[in-house]
Amino acid sequence: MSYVITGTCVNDGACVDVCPVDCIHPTPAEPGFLGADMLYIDPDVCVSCNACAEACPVGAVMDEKSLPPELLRYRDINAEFSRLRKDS
Amino acid sequence: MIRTVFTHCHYCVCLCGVKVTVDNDEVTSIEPDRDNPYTWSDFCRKGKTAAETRKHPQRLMSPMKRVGERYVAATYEEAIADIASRLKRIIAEHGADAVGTYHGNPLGFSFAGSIFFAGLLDALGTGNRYWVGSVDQNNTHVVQQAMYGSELIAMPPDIDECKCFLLVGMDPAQSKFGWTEVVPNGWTRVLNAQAGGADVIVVDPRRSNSAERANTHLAVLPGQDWALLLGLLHVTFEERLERPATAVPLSGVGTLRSLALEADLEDLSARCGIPVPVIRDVARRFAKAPRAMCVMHTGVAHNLTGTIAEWLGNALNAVTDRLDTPGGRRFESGYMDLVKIFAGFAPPTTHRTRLRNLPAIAGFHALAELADEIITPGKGQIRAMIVAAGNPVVSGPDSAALDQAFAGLDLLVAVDTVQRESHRHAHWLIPGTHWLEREGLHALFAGIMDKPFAQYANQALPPPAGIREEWSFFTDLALAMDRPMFGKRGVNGFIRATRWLAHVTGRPQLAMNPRWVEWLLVASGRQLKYGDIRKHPHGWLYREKRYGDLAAAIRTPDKTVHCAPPAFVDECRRHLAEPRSLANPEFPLMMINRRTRESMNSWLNETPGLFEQLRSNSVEIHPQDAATLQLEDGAWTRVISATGAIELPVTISPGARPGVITIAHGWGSRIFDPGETLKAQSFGANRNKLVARTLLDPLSQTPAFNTTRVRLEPLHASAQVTMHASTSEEAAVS
Ligand code: SF4
Ligand code: SF4
Ligand code: SF4
Repeated sequence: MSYVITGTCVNDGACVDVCPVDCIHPTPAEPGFLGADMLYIDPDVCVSCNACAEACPVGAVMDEKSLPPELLRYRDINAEFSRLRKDS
Repeated sequence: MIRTVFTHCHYCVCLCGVKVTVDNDEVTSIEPDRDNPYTWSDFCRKGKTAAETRKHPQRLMSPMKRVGERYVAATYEEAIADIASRLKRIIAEHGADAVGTYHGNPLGFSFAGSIFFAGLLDALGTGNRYWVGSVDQNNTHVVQQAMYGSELIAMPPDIDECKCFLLVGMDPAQSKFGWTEVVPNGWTRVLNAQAGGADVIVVDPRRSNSAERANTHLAVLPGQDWALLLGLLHVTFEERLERPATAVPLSGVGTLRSLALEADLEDLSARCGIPVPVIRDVARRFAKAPRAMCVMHTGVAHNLTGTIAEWLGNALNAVTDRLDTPGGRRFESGYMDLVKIFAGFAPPTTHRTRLRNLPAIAGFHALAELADEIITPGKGQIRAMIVAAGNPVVSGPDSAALDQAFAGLDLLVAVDTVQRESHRHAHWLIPGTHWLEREGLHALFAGIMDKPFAQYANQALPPPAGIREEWSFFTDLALAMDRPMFGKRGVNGFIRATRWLAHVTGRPQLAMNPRWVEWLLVASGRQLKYGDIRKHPHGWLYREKRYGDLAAAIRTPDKTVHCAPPAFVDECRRHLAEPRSLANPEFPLMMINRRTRESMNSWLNETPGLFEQLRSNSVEIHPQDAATLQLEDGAWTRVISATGAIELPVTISPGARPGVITIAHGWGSRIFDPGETLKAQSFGANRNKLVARTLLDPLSQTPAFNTTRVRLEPLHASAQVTMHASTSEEAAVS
């Protein structure tokens, strides 16, 4: 189980500051941040603490299990980005 | 060399299992220990940044003695000799009660620290003992004593089996369900149950993160939870929704029924601000659910009606058969009979306070009384204070009064990792340790866990060179005063003998130490072996949870749960007879409190890695009130009560009801640098300056942290100071 960032993300990075396990990328300090479409949660590291969801000003972060069907694809988008980041 | 140490975080009762990576003398990372079978999933930034707190730039590295307006480093021997002789003189002249003590929440998380501090208090023989529990959890102890016969009978929520959650005055999305019980991963488990069809009802004047996720949010008026709960009982009895108690016999149900039925539902509804049909609906949902629980936390406790509300919630559980039944409030017996051990070991104190003649609760007096006991002359006046891991000036009501009182003490000894607000006038600062530097089994947690679980905490790093653990300082002080540790003759001689033996044999473990006490407690329970607990570095779920132990644990004389203790019934009738609260033109707004996950009371707010966005509390205000007062988001305002005034920026949020403002506690606590610059650093403002020390719940002696009347006066831009760190040039001592 993990949390998932969805397409309404506005890249302000509020979630990065509160995540206890630093699993949200790219962070403002990382190279890919400026051009990023959105930020992504690494499902292998996330502890589902809900902190990012509370911090997000636009409600872009959701618990994987409460994703509505039209947003389900973001689960794979978050996971895929995280896998590529770790591979690179 | 890189080592991995498994232990658990000791900041809050989530007790998260953590994996600490240590490279030589540095902690390089703290992560949740995913191999811990029970407690890692609440992990938060407080645990993650624990090593920063340990390396605090202002950390006390040796005892510091106040000399005029400065502090100078001293040895433990100098500190102990000076403190012992001054305490002895004060006790000889004025009696043992002239020495007062206070300990805060962090000491409670150190088993060794709390047990040996208790030993020191018994050595001193003072009855003037104060603690942090008196500003929040006293109401639970008073109710546990009256209903179940012991101040120590806790009943953790049995979340996984529950079908209807009635959560009153709590925000588990932030607190993670932790308060006086250990419920790891509690909120996520509630949400899982909800996904499986369970009903979640959250009662809170604020639309908190938890309230947002609830099936129903009841925005009760602050301090009126008791009226809502009495209304739920009224409907339960009127519609005959009771369930016979299957696990424990009840008594007093007739009296409770009359009280609830006599109360007028319309009147209760007007008091609590919840419409009658909603009260009826919630009462039915709760009583008809196959398995349910009512749980109350600090939102309820921090009120003048905290005790009767806690009682009515427990009574609702009792009459709907939610005590020690699946999905209700389960009693966990742990691996030893703590209730019995404490009943035999420490008979309840009969000491009463000098000025207000109030009894101790759970062994301690109320912080609200401390300032007056210090400043009022007469026999029994407190002249010296020992403050252990506590910040009572910020944690308690009317901070200015206690600060002034501390300024007049003959001796103030503070034991802590840094010099905090409450230690401003200290004569001696004694260094404390961080949990990363300690080891041990916290045996007292065994009975407040929601599952049978035990974990021995391993030490990640030793304390910095020259810093002694608190328990050893407490013991040395008692020995130097020649007063018997634990109040028992012979103990000092025994301690000296074991120390001598350890010295001559070169085996330090032979000297009396806290591990002996832990071992003895575990052995007394005859269920687990201490060595077996130590063999489980990730923690140990040592058996399946079970039901049915409550009936044997109850200590009321007739072995029944008392549903209508006379003092509670009287207090409830008194409130029913009082007129409903009227508008107060001078102070039109009601101030309540809130939890923030990154905060731990006044303790960690200055840790660098916490609060990267905004490091301050603020005045959360409803848009309607903000419009009336012409306040914009971020504007500064002065908050004024009958007791004091503070200044803070405003956050406009539809969260709280109109007429209610929210300000988190624990902020505005300075940390001083006693060694060099005499500079102090703090963030936010201490909202407890606004809370009166005389207006208390008469049963629990708890102040009205959640129901303090205030008014706001917008500040002009010129008066504004910077939002972030306010570094004052003020001298550390004055
Ligand atoms: S749920 Fe918690 S651990 Fe997961 S990404 Fe959000 S903040 Fe990080
Ligand atoms: S807080 Fe929300 S909007 Fe901001 S970066 Fe995180 S997910 Fe995106
Ligand atoms: S402070 Fe955070 S990490 Fe530590 S026990 Fe509490 S929730 Fe867990």
